[in-house]
Parts: sequence; structure tokens; C-alpha cells
Amino acid sequence: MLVELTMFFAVALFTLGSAFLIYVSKSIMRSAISLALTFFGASLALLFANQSILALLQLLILVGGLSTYMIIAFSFEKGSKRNASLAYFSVLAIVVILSFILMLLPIGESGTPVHNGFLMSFESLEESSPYILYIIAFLPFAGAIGSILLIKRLVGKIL
Amino acid sequence: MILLLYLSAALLGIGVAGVISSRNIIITIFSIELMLLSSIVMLAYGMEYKQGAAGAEMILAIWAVAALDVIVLVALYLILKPAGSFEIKRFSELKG
Repeated sequence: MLVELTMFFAVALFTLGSAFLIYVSKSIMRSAISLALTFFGASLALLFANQSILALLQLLILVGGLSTYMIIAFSFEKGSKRNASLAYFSVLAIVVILSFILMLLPIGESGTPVHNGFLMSFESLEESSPYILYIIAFLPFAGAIGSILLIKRLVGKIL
Repeated sequence: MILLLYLSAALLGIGVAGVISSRNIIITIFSIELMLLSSIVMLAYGMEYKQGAAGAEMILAIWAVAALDVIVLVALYLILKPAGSFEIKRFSELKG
């Protein structure tokens, strides 16, 4: 219970902090990135209500609108923000590597190891932890935002 | 977990404060998104409390409204971009 409370407070602090950053940020691009982080934090908060399907659906549905927001926000940006892109891609690389490690780990009931890994059998999808499904949903979310940041960095201007 | 209600209330408060205080149209629409997000969190807590899926339709409707916000922003962007200003005062120019 204490671990769950601690994790919830961390998620709540992350969500509220990034929501507050929407107004504090001087550029609209950073506000859009803060909005993306707020969406992510709110979907993490849905996990604490045992609504893992809603949490991953929220990530998958809202990423479309969020991408449009970011493309519009980038059109106001003058010059490149190399540090922000570098930090984002560093975090994204860590998350992707951790996700693949988690996906390749064998999953069994009550922690007992099984011989076939997660990717080997789709029948184990229903029995697997919802958190791993959530990580799978997180990958397209992070990939969409990352691709927009990449286009911005490579081309310099989107609109 | 009842703390989700406090999180939802805090998100709603931040969104309302943003709508009231912001002078930029884009930030105002971001604030509306925050308010929609807070209602999703509240409904998710309600679903956990009632142990049912009765709020899922409402959440789907909220996601639809959140997607429609994007269309509003794109329309405003196309209308207001030639003048180069996105001040909230320029809403008065949107008469039909």
C-alpha cells in the first residue's frame, strides 16, 4: 500500500507539474510538449483506478490530436532547440530498451517462470500483466511525438 | 483510490485558471484539453468505485470532444495565421 501511495504521489506530482508548465513555458512548443507529458501522466493515473485498457486506449487515441497540436506549435518556433530534442531522445531510447527487455522476459502466473517468452505466444497476452500491455501502447505514443521532434530537428520548420 | 478525485480536481483547477488567465488562443485550447482530461480521470475513479463499465461511454464521448478540439484549433490557425496574432481578443473577428 505504501509503495502504491508513493507511486501515485509521484505520478500526480509529474502530471500536475507538467500541467503547470503549460502556462509557465515561454514558447508554445514547450507548452505542447508539457501537454503531451500531462496526457501521459493522466493515463498513468488511470492505472491506479484499475482501468488499464482505458489507459492504453487514451494514449493511442489522444496521440493523433497531440501530434497536430505539436505541428501547429512548432510553426511558431524560431530557431532550433537542440537540447530539448537531445534530452527527449535520450529518455525515449531508455524507455524503448527497457520495454523490449520487459517484453522478452518470460511471464508466468504468480511470478513462476515459463519457458515461452511474451513475444513467443500471443495466448499469454490475456494472462500477462497490464503494465506490459501499457508499455506496448506507450511505444507508438512516444514514437509519434519523437518523429515530429525529429522532423523539426532535421527540416527546421514544419509549417 | 479516492486520491484520484483530488488529482482530477487539481487538473480542473489548473485548466480553469488557464482559460481565465491566458491571452493566447492556443494555450486556452490546451487548458480546455486539461479540463477534459480531469473529467476522464474522475470518470475512471467512478468506474472503479461502482465496479462496472457504466462510465466508459462517457469517456468515449470525451475523447471525441478532445479530438474535435484539434479541428477547432486548426480552423483558428488557418483563419488567424495570416495576421500573425493569436491574441484572445481576436475572437471578435470570427463573426460569420
